[in-house]
Amino acid sequence: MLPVAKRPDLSTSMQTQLDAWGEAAGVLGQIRDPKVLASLGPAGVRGLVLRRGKQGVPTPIPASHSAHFDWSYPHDNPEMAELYRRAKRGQWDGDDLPWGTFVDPVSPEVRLLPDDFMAWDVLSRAGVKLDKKERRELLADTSCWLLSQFLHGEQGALFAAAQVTEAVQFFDGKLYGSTQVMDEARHVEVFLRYLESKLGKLYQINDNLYVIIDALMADARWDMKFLGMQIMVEGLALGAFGMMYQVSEEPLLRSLLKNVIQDEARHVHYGVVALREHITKELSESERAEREAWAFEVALLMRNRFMVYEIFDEHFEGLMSRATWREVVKQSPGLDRFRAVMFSRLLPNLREIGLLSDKIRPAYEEAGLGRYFTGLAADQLTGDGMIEELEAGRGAVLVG
Amino acid sequence: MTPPPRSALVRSLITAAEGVRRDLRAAFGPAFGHRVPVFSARDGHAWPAAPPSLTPRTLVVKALTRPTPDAVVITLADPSGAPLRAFPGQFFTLHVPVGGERLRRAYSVCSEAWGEVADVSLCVKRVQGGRVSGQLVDQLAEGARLDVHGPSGDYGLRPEAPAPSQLLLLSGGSGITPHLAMIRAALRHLPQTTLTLVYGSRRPSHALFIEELRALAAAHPDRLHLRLFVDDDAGEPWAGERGQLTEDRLVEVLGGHGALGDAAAWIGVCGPEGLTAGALQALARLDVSAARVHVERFTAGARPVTSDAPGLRLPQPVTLRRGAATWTFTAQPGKTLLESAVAAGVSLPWSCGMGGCGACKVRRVSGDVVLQEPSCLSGDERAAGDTLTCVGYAAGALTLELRP
Ligand code: FES
Ligand SMILES: [Fe+2]
Ligand SMILES: [Fe+2]
Repeated sequence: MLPVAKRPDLSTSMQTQLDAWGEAAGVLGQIRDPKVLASLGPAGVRGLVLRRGKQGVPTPIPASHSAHFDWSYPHDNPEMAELYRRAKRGQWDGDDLPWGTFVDPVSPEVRLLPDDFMAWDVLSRAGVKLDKKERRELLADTSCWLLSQFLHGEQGALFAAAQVTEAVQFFDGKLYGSTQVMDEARHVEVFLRYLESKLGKLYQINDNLYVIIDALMADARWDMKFLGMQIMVEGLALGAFGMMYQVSEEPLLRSLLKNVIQDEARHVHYGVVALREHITKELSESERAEREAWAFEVALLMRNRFMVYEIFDEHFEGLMSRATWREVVKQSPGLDRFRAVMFSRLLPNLREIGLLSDKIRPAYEEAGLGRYFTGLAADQLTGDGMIEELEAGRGAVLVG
Repeated sequence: MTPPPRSALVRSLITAAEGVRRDLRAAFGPAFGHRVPVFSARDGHAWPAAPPSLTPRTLVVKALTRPTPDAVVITLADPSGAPLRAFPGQFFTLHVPVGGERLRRAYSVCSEAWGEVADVSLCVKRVQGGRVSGQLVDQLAEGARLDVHGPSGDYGLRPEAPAPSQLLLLSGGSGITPHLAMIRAALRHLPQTTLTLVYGSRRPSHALFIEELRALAAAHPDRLHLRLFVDDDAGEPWAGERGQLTEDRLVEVLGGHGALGDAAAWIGVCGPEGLTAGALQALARLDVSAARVHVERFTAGARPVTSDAPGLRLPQPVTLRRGAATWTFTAQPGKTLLESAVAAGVSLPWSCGMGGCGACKVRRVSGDVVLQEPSCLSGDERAAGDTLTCVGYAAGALTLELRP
C-alpha cells in the first residue's frame, strides 16, 4: 500500500505553510512588469494565499467584459467562417466513446502512464522505497491528478469560450465561438465521466491553474481572455493531451484524447487567427509588449509551478519536505517531457501572433526554452495532422 | 414560529462574512495542521451502466473454486469483456433452471468491488434441501452461462459516502460473504478505517474463507481484528473461539467495543434469522439505537402466490403517481406489476426482480396488492402501505405513488 500522509505536528505544519507562502511570494515577486503584476497579482493572492479553488464551495468570479453586439451582421472573417463550417461537421457525441472498456488503473499490462514516468531514484533517496505494485498505484494517482487538472481546465475553457463569444468583435467569430462552447461542454463531460466511472477519484484544482483561470475570467479585455485561454491554456493543454495520448496504453483514454485533440486544434487555430490581426495591426507597441510579458509570466507559472502538490499532500506529507518533493517532480522524466511538449506547441503560436519579439526572446532563452522558437503554429496544423504526428512519435517515446 | 425573512442587505453581509471566514481559514488553517481533502471519491453513479431491462443479462462463469465441500465461489464476467459495476455489500440475482422451472436466488458479491470491475465473485453455500444451491454447488462448470439481474441492494460501503472511522461486522454462516467484500474493499480504499469482524459458524468445516481472513489480518495487524467462533468444534481442528453467538454471548463479546459509542462507525449484521435477532437485541442492550445498525437479510426465493383472491384473475387498471404527474397501465393476470408496466412501456425503478432489494418499492394509495413472500419489506414499511412491484400482483384497481 502507498503511504498515507500523516497529520503533521505543529512545527511541520508551520514549515509546510512557510514553504507555500515563500513560493507564492516567489511567483509574484519575480514579475517585473507592473502592468502584468496588476493583472496577475490579485488572482495570485486569491489562488495561492486564499486557496479559493480548494475551499470546498463554489467560487464566484466576477466578470467585467462587455458583450459586443452588431446589428449589421458583417461577414468579416472568412477564415473564421471556414472554421465554423469545419466545427459543425466535426461535432461528436461523448456517449459514442467505447465506455464499455474495462479500465484497471493499476494494470501492469495496459498502462495509463509508462513505468519510468517518475523519478523513483529520487523518491527512494528521500526514504520512500516503493515496490512494483505501489509504483503502479502512484502512477494511477498521478494519471488521475493530470486528468483532474485537464477537467478543471476544461471548465475554465467552457466559461471563457462563452465570454469570448460575447466579447469578440468579429461576427463570424461569434458563430464559430458557439461551437467551441459546445466542444468544451463535451470535454467536461468526457473527462468527468472517465474520472468518475473509471478512476473513481477527482483531485482538487491545482492552485496555479486556479490563478490563471481566475485572472482570465476577471480581465475585462477580450484579447487578454483570448490570449490566456485560446493560446496559453488551450495551447498548453493541447501539448499535455498529446503527450498523454502518446504514452498511454489505455484504449478508451486514447480514443477520448484523440477526439478532444481534434477539437482543441480548431480552438487554438481560432485564437491565432483572431489575435494575429488584432495584435499586429491594432495594438500600440506598449500594449503589445504588455501582452508579451504577460504571456511569458503565465508560461513560467505553468512550467515551474505544476508541482503536483496534491499528490504530495495525499501520500508524502510528513515523510519528506516539500522541497524534496519538488526535486522528485522536477527530475521525473515523464513530467519533464510534459513540459517539453507543452512548450513546443505554445511558442510557435506566440511567434505567429507577434508575441515573441526580439525583446522577449532572451528571457525565454534564459528559461531554457529557446529551442522551441521554430515549429509549426496552429493555423498550419489540422487536428488530423497533429494526430498523425503524435502517432509517428509514439514508438520513439515508448522506447526512449 | 419561523423567523421573518432577512433583508437582502443582511443576507449579503452574512454571505460576505462567511466568505472572509473561509478565506482566513484557507490562508492560515494549514499552518495549524488543518488539511482539506485533496480529492473526492467518485462512484460513477451518474453515468449509465447497462440499462436495466427485465430480460436478464447473461454472464459467463470464468472460474470456480470450492472453499469448503459445501460451497462454491463463482467468478462471473461479461462475455464481451465489458466491465461490471458493483459495490461491496451488493448482491446479484441468479436465474437458475431447475427441472423446467426458472428459480431466482440472490447471492452476495464476495470479491473486492469498488465501482467498475472486470469480474465479480459470488459465494453460494448449500442450503439443506435447497434445489438451486445444490445444483450450483454440484453441477456448475467453468464456461457455463448464467442469467442474472443486478447488482442490487444498498447494504455496505460506497465510495462517495463519508468513510466510516471503523467497521463492526457481525456475520453468521454465509452472511460472511458481503462482509468479506467490504473488508477487502475497506482495507484497500479506506486507509483510515479500522475493522472488527465477529463471525460465527456451526462447526469448523462450515466456516467460510477462514484462511483468507487470517491472511488479511496478518497483512493488516493494526487494522483488521478477527473474532471467529464455532458453535461446536465437532472434533475438527479449530484455532478460533468456541460457543454459539447468542444474544448474551454477543453482549459479552461486543461490550466495550469502540464502535458502539462512535457515531462515525458503521455497524452491520448479516446472517441467519436467529443470529440477526440476537445481534439486534444485544446491540440494543449495549445502547446502540436500532437506526444505527445496518441489517442485510437473506431473502430466500419468493414462493408463488397462493392467494385465491378473485381480483387476481382479472386485468386491473393501475394509476401511478409521482408528484403531479400520473400514468396508467393495465396489470395483466399472472404477471407482476413490474412486468405489466414494462410491457405497457411504463418504466419503473427496480433492480433484483425477486423481492430482495427494495429498489422497486412503491406506496399503495388505494387498492389491494398480493405479494410473493418472503420479501425484504419490513413491518414498518408494510404498515406504511409500501409494496414491491417486482413480486406484487394487483388484486383490484390500484393507485400507486412513486418515490419522488
Ligand atoms: S426489484 Fe428488488 S425488491 Fe423489487
Ligand atoms: Fe477543451
Ligand atoms: Fe478548447
